[in-house]
Amino acid sequence: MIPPQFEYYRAQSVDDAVSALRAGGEDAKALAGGMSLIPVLKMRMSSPPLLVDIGALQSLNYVRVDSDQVCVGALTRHRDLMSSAVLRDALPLLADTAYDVGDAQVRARGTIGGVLAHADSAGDYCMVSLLLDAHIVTTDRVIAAQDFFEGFMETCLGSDELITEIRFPVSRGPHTYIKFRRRRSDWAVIGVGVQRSLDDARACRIGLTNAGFTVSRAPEAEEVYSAGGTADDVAAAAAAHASPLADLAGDVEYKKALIAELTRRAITEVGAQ
Amino acid sequence: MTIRLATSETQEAVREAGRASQGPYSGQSVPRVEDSRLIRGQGQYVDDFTTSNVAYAEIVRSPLPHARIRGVDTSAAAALPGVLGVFTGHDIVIELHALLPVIAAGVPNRRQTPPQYPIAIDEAVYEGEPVAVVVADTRYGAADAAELVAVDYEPLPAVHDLDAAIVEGSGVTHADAADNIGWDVALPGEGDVDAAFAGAAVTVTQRIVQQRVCAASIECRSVLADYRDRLTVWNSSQMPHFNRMYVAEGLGLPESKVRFISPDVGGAFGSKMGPYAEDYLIPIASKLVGRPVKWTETRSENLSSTSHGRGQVFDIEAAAAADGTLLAMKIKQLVDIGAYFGRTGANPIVSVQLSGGCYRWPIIEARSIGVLTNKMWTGPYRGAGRPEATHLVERVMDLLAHELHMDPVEIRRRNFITRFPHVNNFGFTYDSGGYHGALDRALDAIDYTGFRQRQADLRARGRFLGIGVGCYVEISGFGPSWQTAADDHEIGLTESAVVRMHPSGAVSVFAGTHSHGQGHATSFAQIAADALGVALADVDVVEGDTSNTPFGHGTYGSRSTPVGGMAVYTACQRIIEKGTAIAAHLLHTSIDDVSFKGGIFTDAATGERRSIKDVTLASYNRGLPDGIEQGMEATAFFDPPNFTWPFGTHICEVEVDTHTGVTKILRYVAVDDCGNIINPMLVEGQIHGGVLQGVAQALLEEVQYSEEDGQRLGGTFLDYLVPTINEMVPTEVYHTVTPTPTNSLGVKGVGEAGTIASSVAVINAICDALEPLGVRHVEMPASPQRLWHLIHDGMPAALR
Amino acid sequence: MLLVHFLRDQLGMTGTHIGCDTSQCGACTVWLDGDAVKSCTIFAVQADGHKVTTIEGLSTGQKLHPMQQAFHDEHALQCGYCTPGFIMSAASLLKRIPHPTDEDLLHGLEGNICRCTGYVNILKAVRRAAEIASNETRDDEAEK
Repeated sequence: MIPPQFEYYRAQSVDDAVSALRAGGEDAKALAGGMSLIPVLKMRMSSPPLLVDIGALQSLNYVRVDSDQVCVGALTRHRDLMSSAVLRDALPLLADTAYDVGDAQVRARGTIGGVLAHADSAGDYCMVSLLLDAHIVTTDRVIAAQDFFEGFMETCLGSDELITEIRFPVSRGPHTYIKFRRRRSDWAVIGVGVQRSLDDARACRIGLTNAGFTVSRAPEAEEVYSAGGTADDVAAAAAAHASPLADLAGDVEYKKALIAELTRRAITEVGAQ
Repeated sequence: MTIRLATSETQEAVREAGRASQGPYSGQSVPRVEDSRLIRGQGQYVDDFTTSNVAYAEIVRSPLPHARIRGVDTSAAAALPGVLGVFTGHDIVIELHALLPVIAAGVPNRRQTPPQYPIAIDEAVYEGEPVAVVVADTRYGAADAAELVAVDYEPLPAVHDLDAAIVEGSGVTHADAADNIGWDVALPGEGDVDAAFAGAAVTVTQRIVQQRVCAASIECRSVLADYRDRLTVWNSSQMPHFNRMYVAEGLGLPESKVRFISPDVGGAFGSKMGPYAEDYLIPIASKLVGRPVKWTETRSENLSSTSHGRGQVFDIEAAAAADGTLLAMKIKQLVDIGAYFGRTGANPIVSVQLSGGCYRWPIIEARSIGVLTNKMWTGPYRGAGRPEATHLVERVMDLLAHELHMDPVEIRRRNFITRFPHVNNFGFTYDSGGYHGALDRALDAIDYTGFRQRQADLRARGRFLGIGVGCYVEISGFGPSWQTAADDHEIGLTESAVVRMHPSGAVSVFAGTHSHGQGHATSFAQIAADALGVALADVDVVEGDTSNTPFGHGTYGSRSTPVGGMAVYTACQRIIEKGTAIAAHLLHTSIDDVSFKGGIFTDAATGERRSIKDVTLASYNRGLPDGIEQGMEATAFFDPPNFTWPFGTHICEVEVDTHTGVTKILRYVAVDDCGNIINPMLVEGQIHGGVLQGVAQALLEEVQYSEEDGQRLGGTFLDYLVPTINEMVPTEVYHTVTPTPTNSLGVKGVGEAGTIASSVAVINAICDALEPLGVRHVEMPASPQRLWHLIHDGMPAALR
Repeated sequence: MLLVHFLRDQLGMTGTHIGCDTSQCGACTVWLDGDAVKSCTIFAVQADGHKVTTIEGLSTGQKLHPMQQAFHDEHALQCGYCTPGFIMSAASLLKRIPHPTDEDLLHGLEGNICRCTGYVNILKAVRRAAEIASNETRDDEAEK
């Protein structure tokens, strides 16, 4: 598999990258870790005339905790997230999620910003950012996660707009992310993430990976939980309101069963923490 | 978490078993001599080779399963800088002297064999069929140009469903064909099958599907062709001599002017037998552009355009008496040939010929129908016919046991063949066997009785564990030419070796087989070193180059050791025979008084000795006895009198998560009997890999097609689920040793054994686990989705 | 140009292999600044200014890297095609986690596919290499 020809520019700074993208026109693309973009190019499903390599911008590789916020640089790699002690303390759900993204080689290269910009409904961080009402900071603005994902692999990012940081609320409460996969390194067939409040045992957020065109929350299930429903009740609500898409890994009925079962397990697990 | 791997006790048992053989090396786990280059990155696979001025080819393939080609516009591609040529079917066909071969063995009475060109001309009949060849001076240039080739396709309906394809008046795979029947062969049983069924206590009826799978060797196929006054082709293949024979014919060249080199080959599992379309297209492209041309398959091409394995459907009826005695079986087999016969030769029929398994069947009546479809052709894949046969009969044994309320082990015991030689229902002679012994060893290793107790306890707590037994006998060592050459126009499957002792006493072994992971450089050296009494380090094994190895058929069908190894052994014996004559001359005694052992010729009368090194040096000197030429080398072609018949029992323990449909393998015990063992370490490695491939067919792998239009779904390693280390099966390996009387080494072949009983051991275990939920049969792959539906469909919602 | 093609076609370093199109099989694994990465999913130009280590650079002269030795000793390779990538991944893993649990190994080696060995002997080899390495460390400490 051979990628098409393109111009390459290695950006020296975020501003430099933005002006290069602007000069390159609408089809120019930013290249971060490349784990999503390069396979797409190899398959020749996309043929951008210019790639602006932002991978070397070390200024965007960090995890910082500011009082009630966890700020993650867009170019922080999966492996850095998974092994960040700061993150494990302030937002262990994100560290756990990073641990099981892709495989070891992918974790050494891929970045959180890249996953968000790619906006695959199977993108684990997309779900986590939606689940926790993260804010996505770009070169132009701050976008709430719920406004960020617009559709199937679509975001509201402009063609010359770069993600620079993702801000999550500090969340130390009981949590889990259960991914169902055929093989461990595969994308989730269905994933269910749960984050419970540290202070309020009846407040929890439930997020779904790959259960529709985009990542999603399960507000009905969250309500059942806060109303004191059992794990089975919560699971049934999550499945009833989800609209998963049929594919080779499962038809709609089976995927709904998975949503129910994974939710039941996640709620039970979180309850036991 | 700790994964339990085979214990040292097991390893010791393997080594013990191997000691049945003679000589200091045979029976020992000699470390592999080929590793040294491979672990350093010094292996040389076809794509690693280059020559000066090499150009690169990219192949434009049909994206549709069936289409008329209205036209191919190559102008934009040809205009790209660096492009050396763009060739369509019309350009290629001019250069072609013969079509791709149809391997005839085993399938008599073909109704039709669609003529196969290496490239589509006016009609594309499978997705992935070559439509144009683009040659450019770089890999990247060729890929860019290929994208610019514009093909005007008129889509035609695709034939994909086997049942629909054989109905009269159905659409056809090839526009000019009358129907889709490739063959329709009856294999009648001896006796009154209807009477047997009428008198049976129980009968079972079942459809069993062997889905299409991909061999997916990690090295894809690759061809580098250099057409000058002679044609040299580097080709990732299991059988360079065979491919040379056909490609020479295809290009109208004398075989002697064509050299095929298969260097290191990165796995094959039956899929690199060939010849393939590209084996013709790339040499022709080299001829047309006047430069060496290299082409290397991508994984996507590999999954679409390298032969698929399995692809067979069986409708079975079987009958047994109340005590479990087998009475009769009827089999209707549908073989998904694909669009061309390719290598769809004998192996689909083997599925039927071995369908009786390890058991006495008074009658088996079968009918085999080969069905042409608009898909890539199916060909041999590790086991080729034996996994299908074993899966069939071992499912039937469990189904009958279920009807009889009998333990599945018990029904097997009552019907095992115990007297050898045994002529099976289709005329094959099992030369030796010991099926009870292998079964007992496996049951003991897995603690079958203890498992049944645990299973009952856990079921009471809502957990679903199951155990599955797969007993097998397979056909290996392909094969005796009296049984493998269909007629006077075919060649029989002998194997060859030249053994040459150099003046220094070092030994070169040139073999017609071709290792692609099996470790012949080690195992053949062990055979030769023991036979000649020389140091292993002094032996070098050469394979894969038609210019220095004798004509051989290559490596497949678990044949290399029992046929190729025997050729090596036989050539060594001839050298010793000659050496004895020379030694007698040197010792001034008669040949009858000279004995040979461990590299030493000894005069029985005087005790005087000469080493084989001394004798070899003398053989290149003057003063040899009358009638003896200089040199110490011999050629041997070994034509075995029979196939070999390895057997064994595999037992698998699973737990099924009924909420998600996930199957987890808890334990896996493999007992295999491949006769005498040359290198236990290599044998164990073959079992490990084979078992995982069978298990992967049972749980993960499938080439999928749209039920609507026959379009293939997916097509990369993202969706074709080859197991990773997380799906590893911690196989516990045991052996029984029953040497075959068919060859002097007593070896039977083991390359495919692991694959043969593993898929059915897993499926039987799943059926056993889900038996309380009313699941009687499970098709492959037993994906979570499939199992979940089997468990839940029809179950009241409240119970889900 | 992809890094793997640069290594193979431009530099003639053919020990690094290609086995898939979609970044699954790991046959192309090399080290970039010491980290195992898939060279089929990196452009050569991205590696400009960085240190690339391939299988050819793993052993020191004739002396094998402990991981190469362990793969040989445990018969952890058959056709050898996935082997360079597997060795690079496994050696990188042990650099980061010298005493890995089985979970560490399964988690760290899921990005390499082998079709021949069934992984059993690969797992044994990596465990053994870890043992050899920790014994060597102990010996070094004893000498001090």
